[in-house]
Amino acid sequence: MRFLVLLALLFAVLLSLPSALAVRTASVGSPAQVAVVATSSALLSLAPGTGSGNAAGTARYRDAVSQDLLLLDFTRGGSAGTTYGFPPNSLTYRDRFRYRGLFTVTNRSAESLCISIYVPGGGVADLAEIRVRPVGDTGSGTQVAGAGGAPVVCTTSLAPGSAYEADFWWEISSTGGGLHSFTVRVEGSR
Amino acid sequence: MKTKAKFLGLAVVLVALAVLVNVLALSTATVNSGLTIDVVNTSSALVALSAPITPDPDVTVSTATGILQLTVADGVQPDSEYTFSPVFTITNNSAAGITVDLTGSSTPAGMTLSFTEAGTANAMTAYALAAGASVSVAMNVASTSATALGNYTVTVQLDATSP
Repeated sequence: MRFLVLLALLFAVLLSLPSALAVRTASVGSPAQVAVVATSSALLSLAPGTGSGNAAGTARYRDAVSQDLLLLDFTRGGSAGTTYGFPPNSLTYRDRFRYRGLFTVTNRSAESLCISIYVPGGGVADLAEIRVRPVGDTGSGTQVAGAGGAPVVCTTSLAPGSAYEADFWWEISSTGGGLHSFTVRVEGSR
Repeated sequence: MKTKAKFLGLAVVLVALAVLVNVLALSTATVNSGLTIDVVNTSSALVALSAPITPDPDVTVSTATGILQLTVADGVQPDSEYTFSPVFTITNNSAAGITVDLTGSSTPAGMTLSFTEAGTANAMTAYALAAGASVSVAMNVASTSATALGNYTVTVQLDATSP
């Protein structure tokens, strides 16, 4: 009888071995530290331009103290507190509205990033192009978005620690009025 | 007849003894199954988490304390979405295939964590990992404009199940 009991125990141990080597269920929690910082100091940081292209404060922080978010407001003009707009059908008069150095994009990550600035889904009436240039460059830079703000294939790489200025070109052919609200996306990819 | 009665009596005694032995055996048996549990560094556990050979340079990955720890020190801003790839590797050191689910928790308002197989769009949800196989994981950190500035300790939760 004792032999039978020992045999049974041996079987039980042998049967339990595969279970010990395989995982039935496992849960592992790992802590991760994530810092949410001002947009002016994030890995891909944004800051309002300091040149004439942003003289009206078209690009500004949502909160000037915390510098948490960057907002674009193209209704801003020469007089603070007054809202303006583009004149309808202004292409008739060959007018274009070009905001050079509206804001800067700085790559604070450890690797080069291909920079794209565009409007998800595009379709913004009269937005002709978005371009980027190295800060201080006087050329026309590289196009990163086309008509309506639709993205183009990313071709310009930004080295760690370097910055681009973003230019917005408007060509107003609309004949009616209206206020548009849209989101501009700044994207850096390997 | 008398002999037959003795035999029956003997048989009854034997059965009684057998039952007695059985009862005694069950009531006093001590079972040592030889179970040994090692608490090991997470990088060498049955479902192991380890730093990739070349982790994303903007994330610090450590298993020095025995627990995988990730740090995004330089920060993300509100209303943003960052993907860090790869951030860690999962290895199935068990003897059977498993399905893996990765989730993020304890995140601040407006922030979500999600995970994909590095280099692909395959979500780490019910992800099948064969015995002995490894997978590199990318982490996506998305925040809304409502996410407040600050330093947060969030949790990356791995759940593994053998089908």
